[in-house]
Amino acid sequence: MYNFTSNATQQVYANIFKFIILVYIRGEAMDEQERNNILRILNETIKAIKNSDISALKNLSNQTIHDASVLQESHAISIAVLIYTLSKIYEREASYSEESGWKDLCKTCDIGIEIAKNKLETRDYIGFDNALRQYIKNLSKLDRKLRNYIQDVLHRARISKASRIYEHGISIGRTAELLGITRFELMDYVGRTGIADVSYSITFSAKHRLNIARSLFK
Amino acid sequence: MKSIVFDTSSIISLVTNDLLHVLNDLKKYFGGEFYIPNSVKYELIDKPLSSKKFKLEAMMVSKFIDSGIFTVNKELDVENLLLTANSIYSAHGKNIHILDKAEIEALALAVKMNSSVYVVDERTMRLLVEDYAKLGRLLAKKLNTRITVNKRMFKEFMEQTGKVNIIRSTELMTVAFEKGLIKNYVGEYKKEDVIDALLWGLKLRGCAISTEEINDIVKMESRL
Repeated sequence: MYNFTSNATQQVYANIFKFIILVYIRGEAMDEQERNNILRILNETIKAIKNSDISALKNLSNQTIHDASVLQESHAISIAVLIYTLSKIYEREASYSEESGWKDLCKTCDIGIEIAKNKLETRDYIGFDNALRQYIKNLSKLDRKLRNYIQDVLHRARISKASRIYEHGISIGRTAELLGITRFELMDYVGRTGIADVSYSITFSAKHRLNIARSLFK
Repeated sequence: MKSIVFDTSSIISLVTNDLLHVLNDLKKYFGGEFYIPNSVKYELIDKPLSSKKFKLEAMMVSKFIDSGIFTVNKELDVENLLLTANSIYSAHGKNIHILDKAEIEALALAVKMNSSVYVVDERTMRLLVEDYAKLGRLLAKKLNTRITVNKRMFKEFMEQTGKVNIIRSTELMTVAFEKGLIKNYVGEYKKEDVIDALLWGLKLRGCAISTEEINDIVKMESRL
């Protein structure tokens, strides 16, 4: 295990471990359709990384979150968060490329996805889960500045992906539970989106609901 | 005894806007009890207390529970209702789990106590109770897939819950405003600006109210 040197470091590790738990799936087999879908997403992710196509990475993450809303299955959720994190890492390349450890980080990201894909291709589900966990673990071995950045990106990725699942019609509570975040964090984020403004969100008129409230406090 | 049940989302909108204290006076007008189920307390206090973010808000809610504004109800057995609610919608032959235990427990408590209203700021529970077909259409549109609605399960859900009136923190605070319970800014700013600020504060902290609904309420309040 690690020797914790400060509260801040401890917090960073705690958050990274939280995510490891999220991707800890005990090597459960997945159905063929789900496996093929994740394989397709991983192949396209590798292609997008090679082409430095950040917007393709974001699209892939969004596609995966559609499946995650229906299946609510930890593989799909983890992959969606990981790909979104990758897009954010590559997006900031200009700011961090001079930092020591940046090249290692990029290498870790590329190899990690390849290994996970190879394991899934051979239906080695335990190996696939281990690859995802190892991938996250490797990120925690980076230099402090980069490690803090990655930890922050991972956390934001979870909240961002959670807001998409809520947007799809899953409740705040269920979504927060799936992504391992608090209801406070999710409410704070979705309030700044336009989710409540779509016509599907409105049921009764403002007057009708207000009259219900008025009738209680006379 | 009259009662109102609050779910996690409505209390989050209120506490993050520092408006929980308004419930003190509203409770006097109501003349009944304000309830939260045990699982909601866990989500509001126990869980955020273990992290740095929103720890202060958790302490604030805890103080209000200690002061007796909210009564915490002991855990209810909601497994059957939870299963029923989460079997109403399906896609690709799989049920879509739309709600979690704390949300269902708050609903079950409102039913058990025959509460006047259930205060919910999040959207999914409100849509399920008030317009389940619309929630089905939302799921189909956003997930871009065919959604099957199990009407038998919905009927079972309705038989277990009956008719529950839902309001949000926005309606509660509008009534508080009408009663003169939010007086800090009145006089200094125009009435419609204060109500607009109040409702937008709640919306931006997660209350599922649309801009159109806010504009309608502001118009109504400026005419009073």
